Amino acid sequence: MVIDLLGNSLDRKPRVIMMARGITLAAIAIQLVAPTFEAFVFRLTFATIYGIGALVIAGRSAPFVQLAGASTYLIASIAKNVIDLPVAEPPSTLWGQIIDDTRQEVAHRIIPPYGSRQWQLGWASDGKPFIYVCARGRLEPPETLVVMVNGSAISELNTSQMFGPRPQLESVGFYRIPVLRDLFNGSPALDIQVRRDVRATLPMEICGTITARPTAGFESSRFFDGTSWISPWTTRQGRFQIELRLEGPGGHVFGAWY
Amino acid sequence: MIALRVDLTPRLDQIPMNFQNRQPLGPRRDLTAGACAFAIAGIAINAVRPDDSVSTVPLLLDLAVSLWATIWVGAFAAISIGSVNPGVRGLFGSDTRLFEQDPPSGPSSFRSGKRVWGFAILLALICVAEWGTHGGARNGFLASSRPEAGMEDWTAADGYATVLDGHPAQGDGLFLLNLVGLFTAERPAISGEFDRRAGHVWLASLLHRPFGSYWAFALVNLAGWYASAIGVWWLGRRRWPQTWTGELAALMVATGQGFIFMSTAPQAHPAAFGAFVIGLMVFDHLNLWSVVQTRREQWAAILGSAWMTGIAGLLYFGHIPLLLTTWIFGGPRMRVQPLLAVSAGALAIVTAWQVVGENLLGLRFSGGNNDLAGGAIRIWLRIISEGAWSLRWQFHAGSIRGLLVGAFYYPWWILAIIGIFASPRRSRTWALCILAGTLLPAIAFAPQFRLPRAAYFAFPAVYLLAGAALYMISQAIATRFATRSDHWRTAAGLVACAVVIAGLATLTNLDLTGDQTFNVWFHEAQGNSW
Repeated sequence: MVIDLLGNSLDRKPRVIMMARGITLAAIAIQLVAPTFEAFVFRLTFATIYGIGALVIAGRSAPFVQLAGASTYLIASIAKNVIDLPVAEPPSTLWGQIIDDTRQEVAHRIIPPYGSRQWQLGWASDGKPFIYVCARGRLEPPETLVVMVNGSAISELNTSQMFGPRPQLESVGFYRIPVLRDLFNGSPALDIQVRRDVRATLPMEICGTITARPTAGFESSRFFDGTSWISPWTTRQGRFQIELRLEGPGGHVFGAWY
Repeated sequence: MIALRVDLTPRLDQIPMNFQNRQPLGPRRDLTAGACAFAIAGIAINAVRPDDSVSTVPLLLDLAVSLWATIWVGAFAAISIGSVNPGVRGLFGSDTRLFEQDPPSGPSSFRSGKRVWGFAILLALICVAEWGTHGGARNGFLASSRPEAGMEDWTAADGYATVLDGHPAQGDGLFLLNLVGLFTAERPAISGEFDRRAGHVWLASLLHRPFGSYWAFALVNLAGWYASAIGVWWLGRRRWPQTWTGELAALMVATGQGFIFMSTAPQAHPAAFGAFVIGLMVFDHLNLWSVVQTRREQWAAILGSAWMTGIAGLLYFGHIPLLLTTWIFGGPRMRVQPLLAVSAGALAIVTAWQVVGENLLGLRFSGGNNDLAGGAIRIWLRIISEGAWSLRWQFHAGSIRGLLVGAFYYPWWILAIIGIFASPRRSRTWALCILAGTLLPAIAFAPQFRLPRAAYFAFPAVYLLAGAALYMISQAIATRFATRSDHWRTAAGLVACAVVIAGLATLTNLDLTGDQTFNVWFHEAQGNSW
């Protein structure tokens, strides 16, 4: 027998073909077992459009292709109704942490990847390091946030540091703060703290997002609420949007880490 | 009709299909479109007042290529579709081969079932390897949205990302979960950006319960990827018989930029690419193009083709390139009724879902991605209303050359152009029709977004033409350097092909070294700099 999986089988095997058609019809029927009207309509539409058409078209392909396709469809249809695996809600890609007390503080640890190709290329190319902090609105002293690195205040956020699009005045966006290259001499990690300016009277909001590739572990972000430390990884599966970027001339980013 | 078909059988066997018997260069429609493109592009460059777009040689060349490609695609499509009219068809001479089957059947290059299985398994292994090594945080769609790529200035270090079942994934996945939840009866109907692509989510929902959201979308992508590779292989064997064209093109699919870019991203594109190729297979398998059919066979061809085209429309906008290809290739060789019937059937399927979704589920099918095609048309109308200078400037600002190079880098285009000359006449015509049918929507959409992923629908044509060129070159090398025996010639040819395929695969896998250049270009086109 010459086997041609692309549809020109010389041995048609009518029993296999009939079996495949029966299995496809069974799969369509199982698809329609849905607990809600909306799901029933949705499934009916697609199971019918795909299934019946597939029956007709598959009739022109090789028998074992028909059987394999129909069996896969049946197994998936059964699994859809039998296995209880709900659609997991992903962690929020953008959330905010309000800071309305001078005792409160956001902390984030970054371990610069000194050994990585990106870092070494950026460093050798005289790349300049920046810390990015995402916050809501236009911050201007005294109603602003203060950024500290390894215990030393490096900047108060102000409008000249705003970076990236902000569709509205109150939109969230990055503040881009230059830091000295000396900061990285002999420093295995950057401990970054963000606090409200002591003179501020209004509440501030720091952005948070998902975390997938933290340099200092998933617990590297923390929030001190005035009495205890809370990890956004525990509460939201996320981190604060505080990042280190190494940039070349013209704004080319060699790497971004958090 | 049946008698005619029987009479043709001996003639079909005599149709020269190998490269030693290739026919004179292209049908007149191609050349007429090319001449139109040269003339109009020349006028647009010389007669419209000068500006920055013609200030340097590279920019001038970019503009010229952009104009030529756009006008060729438009003119070739218009002439071909217009050929459904007997008057227009007559302008280009009657097609003497109208009553021949298309494509002509020919023996495959594999004689053994084991080799067929072996190659199918090899393709599967390559697809899985590429899919696996470009998944998660390494996904090109995701990686090219990170700050390092220089495309976006608003994304955080992870790029435009979400986390599905603990895996970093391209951000649009977030908006597909409501539809998945609707299919699994966990969520109510909530209108979203991707209502029109619900067919893709339905496929993913079949796999969601055993595998979870991330792997469900990823496996649908893998299935589309493998189906594309197998489909291109099949088409190559059918339309370039007795050569390795299909095998070489299938390897290019398995290592293709578009599939690598998508890999595990929760996006409809790989499934739509697969549906597009399967659509082309269905057209050929059901002999849609042939007028030598019984009424029953013709209806089967029309209904089957309409169904597959509609399915492609439920996944992404795959029905548009499929329908355009159908009209462009079918226009000069089919009656208009079957073309209308296929189009009506396909649009009926797409519309049926919208009617059901709007009336029974309360989905809106508007907003966000649902409205982008209409937006592109409005932009074109505005540009045209502003005059010739504005129209020409659009081809500078929104370089079509940059769009095409973003989808397929120069080596593939160079090979494909060689393949145009190396292919038999009817295979070449078929491939050019696919090129026009797939590039036209991508070019039309360009003022809104320049999306190489839309132009990537041309991959069956580009890779098959490139495969034909590669085969011809390998045979030339083999004949020159290995004259002792057929075995040595075959071995030398295989080595030559393997070297080139490995070189091409190295380019598409460059992101594994940290260089995201090709992913960035595939994400948002190259622009007008070379």
